[in-house]
Amino acid sequence: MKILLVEDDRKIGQFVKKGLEEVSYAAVWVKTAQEAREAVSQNQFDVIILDIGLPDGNGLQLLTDWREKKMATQVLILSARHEVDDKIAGLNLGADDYLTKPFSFGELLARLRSLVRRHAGQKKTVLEHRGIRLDLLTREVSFDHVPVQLTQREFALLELFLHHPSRVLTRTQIAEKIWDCHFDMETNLVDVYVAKLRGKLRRDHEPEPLIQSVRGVGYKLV
Amino acid sequence: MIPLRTSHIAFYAVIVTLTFTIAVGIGFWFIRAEMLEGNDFLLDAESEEILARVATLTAPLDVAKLEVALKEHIQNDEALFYFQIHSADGAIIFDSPNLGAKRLPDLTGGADKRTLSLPELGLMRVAEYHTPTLHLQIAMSLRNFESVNEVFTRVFWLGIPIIACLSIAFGLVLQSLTLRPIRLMQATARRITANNLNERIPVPPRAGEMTALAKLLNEMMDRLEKSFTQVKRFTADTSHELMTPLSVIRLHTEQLLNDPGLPPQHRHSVEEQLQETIYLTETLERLLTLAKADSSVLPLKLKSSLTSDYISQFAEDAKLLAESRGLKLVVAQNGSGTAVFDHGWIRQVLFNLLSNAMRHSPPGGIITCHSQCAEGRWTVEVWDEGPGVPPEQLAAIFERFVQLTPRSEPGTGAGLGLAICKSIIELHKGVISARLRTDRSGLIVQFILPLDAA
Repeated sequence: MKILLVEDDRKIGQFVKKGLEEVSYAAVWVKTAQEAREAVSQNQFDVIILDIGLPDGNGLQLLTDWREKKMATQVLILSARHEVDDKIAGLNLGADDYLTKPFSFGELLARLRSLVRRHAGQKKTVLEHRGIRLDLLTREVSFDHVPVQLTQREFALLELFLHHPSRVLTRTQIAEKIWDCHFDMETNLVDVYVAKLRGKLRRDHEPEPLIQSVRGVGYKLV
Repeated sequence: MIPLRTSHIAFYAVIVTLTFTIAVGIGFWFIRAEMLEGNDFLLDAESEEILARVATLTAPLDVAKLEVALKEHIQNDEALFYFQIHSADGAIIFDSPNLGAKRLPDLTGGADKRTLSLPELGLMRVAEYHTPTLHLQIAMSLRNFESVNEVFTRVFWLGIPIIACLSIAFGLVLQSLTLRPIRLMQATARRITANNLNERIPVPPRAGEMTALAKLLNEMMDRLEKSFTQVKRFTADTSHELMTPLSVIRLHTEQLLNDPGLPPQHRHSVEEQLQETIYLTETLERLLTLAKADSSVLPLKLKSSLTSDYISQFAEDAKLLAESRGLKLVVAQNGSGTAVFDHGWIRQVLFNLLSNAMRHSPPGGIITCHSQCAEGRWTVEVWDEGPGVPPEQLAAIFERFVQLTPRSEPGTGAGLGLAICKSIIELHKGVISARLRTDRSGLIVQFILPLDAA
């Protein structure tokens, strides 16, 4: 996977570039909007990590220009929350995801992976994974051919996991998707719902739950 | 209340109609006076001629001579005048044939000209002239007066409604012209919010006070925009300048924690460092949110929805959360209504109140969430069974950095949670308050939002 990192802060840039290369991603790091324009015109990237506050212009302007030119590359915006009026502003301009500073590297990695995944994924109406079967049209869920009753939130949560099997989903990612919440809710609501869902998708002979915790980051469906 | 428009136009129409009435009245009076004067002049001229013809006659008057002297002249002027001559002792000695059997009345009381309404003759101007030998009476019909009268009356009664209608029509046109700048100002003022402060009221050219008013309002908007922009820039700059180094600290700390070679005696310190970084970030974000809320630059995504649906959805999550902490949540709803609010921010308030209540509840405690819609207000209360707060502190808990219990763990906030709740509720034009339970120990936090009147 080839990633363009547009970040003017030297320390963050260095850290992220190194981190990405450690997990075998090819990362190109540029520090200005001008360099970013040049890099995009010369190369094909899978994902662009875009900081908003750049020394020679606004990252959002860059994004607007790219989207006007019908560039389809996935863009993840990286910025401090109050730098833009609303993170929705970024998403409205055509960003695919948004991560606020300060972020954890695990979170960034998880989001990059689900971005690429989302990009490649096709629209299916029935999602299946290791005995779990979820029908998006009839909204029926079965586990090892036994129907399972899920609340609306549990259904949405399971659907999210099934869209990203074997990928780590961070707590904030889940909160954003299920509760449309862009602020910490000061609660462990995500953990509580994951625990409920685990309880309903348990096999007696399997000690390991299907939805596993990833320490300090979030959860993944294995 | 009668709108300014209507009352102004009515006033205008009344004034115009009244002016018309007075003008017609004065005109009528002048024309009448003018006609009378003309008549009197004719009467005087006529009398002079007649008196000249009879001046040679002496008392006692010879009626036959009188008739001879006047016959020709009277025949000529009969169409216009009526004549009647008395002798010095008052007996009628001559009258013009056009009078027939009718008589002109004596003008007693000194006046020598009078307007009289006579039987059979109609309205007449009668004049009397005295010489030592005779009294001459000449009368003129005022029939032409009556026709003038009639014309005026017709003009008057037809004119009033026409003038009233016309003045209302002109008033409307005039007013819409005058009020146009004001309507433009209203429309612009209504459009301007914290998010499009760069809009300005169009300044009408050559409109005197209106131009001055529009300029004044625009100057006020300039000052407002400047201070709003300052807050926005401040929060953006602070965010950027502080969050970037915080990112670096966090990235490195996490990297350290992922390093299996980290000596166990240092692991605890590094974990502590990470927790504090997260805590610092949260506090900073809340402060910036407060700064934006205070100056109304926090964008609200207002949506209209049924309070019962919203509370039920919240209750589903809240019950699970309470259960996970070994607490019980009771949700009671009294009535439902439509309210316009930002779902995300109000949920933030609800979860904040819930997490406070959970933190202060004794094990197995019951938290009650009560939603009520009545008299145009949506009241939501969260009751806990905790120790409550000292009564004198009830108002203080909504202030910034006020924390009545020591900070036990990162993530419990720096005493900004309720301050943010207060800002959010006030941005929604609502009120938030706290009181103590009277049935047992515990705190009740209540917020009231206006319901949508429509």
